[in-house]
Amino acid sequence: MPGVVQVHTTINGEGKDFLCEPRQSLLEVLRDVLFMTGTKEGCNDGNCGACTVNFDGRIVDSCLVLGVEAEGKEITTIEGLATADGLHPIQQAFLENAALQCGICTPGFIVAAKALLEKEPGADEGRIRHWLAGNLCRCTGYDKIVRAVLDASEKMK
Amino acid sequence: MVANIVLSEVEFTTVGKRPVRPDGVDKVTGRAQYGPDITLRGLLHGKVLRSPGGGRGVR
Repeated sequence: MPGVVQVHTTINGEGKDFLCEPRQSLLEVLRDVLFMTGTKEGCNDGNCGACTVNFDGRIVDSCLVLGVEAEGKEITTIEGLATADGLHPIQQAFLENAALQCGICTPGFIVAAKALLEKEPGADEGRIRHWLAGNLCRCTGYDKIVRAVLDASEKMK
Repeated sequence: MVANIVLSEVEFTTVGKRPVRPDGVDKVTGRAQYGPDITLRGLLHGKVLRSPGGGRGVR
């Protein structure tokens, strides 16, 4: 195939090699090349946060990052949060607080919230609301999501 | 203060409870399969081709 680039990256702690076109977004690579469909496509233009992934310690909208930029980077997606021991405390808190309905925004919210709680353990409600401003949810009205993250924040302290 | 009105003393199994959604674990782990997450052999994709402006038609 002309114009494809080989990229080596680390996704959820596992080395991955993939081929992609220079125009393809990281979101397209995750979903259409690697078939990791846990990361959702909402708006595909950086407004909704559904495709949020952790990219070398920063949260990014994967629809705004090119696949080729992943070279040598460490990426964490929603698929990398639960372990053999069970769900991540944030995932558990989302379930217990009924913080999801349709679930399309949920992976993005959880990945974003995890980055906050790792950076600022015990973050308060104001901080959580500010941090999650880049993630849109059309089902829950946000309150239950914020409560879930607060709950996880307290449990993870 | 007005006390809550008790409509029924009957213990319900579902009403008044907030059970964990049966599809919840799949949704918080990214395992849930939505329409766009499914790839089938020979799957055809469609795309809307719109006119670039009013009255300009589509080639």
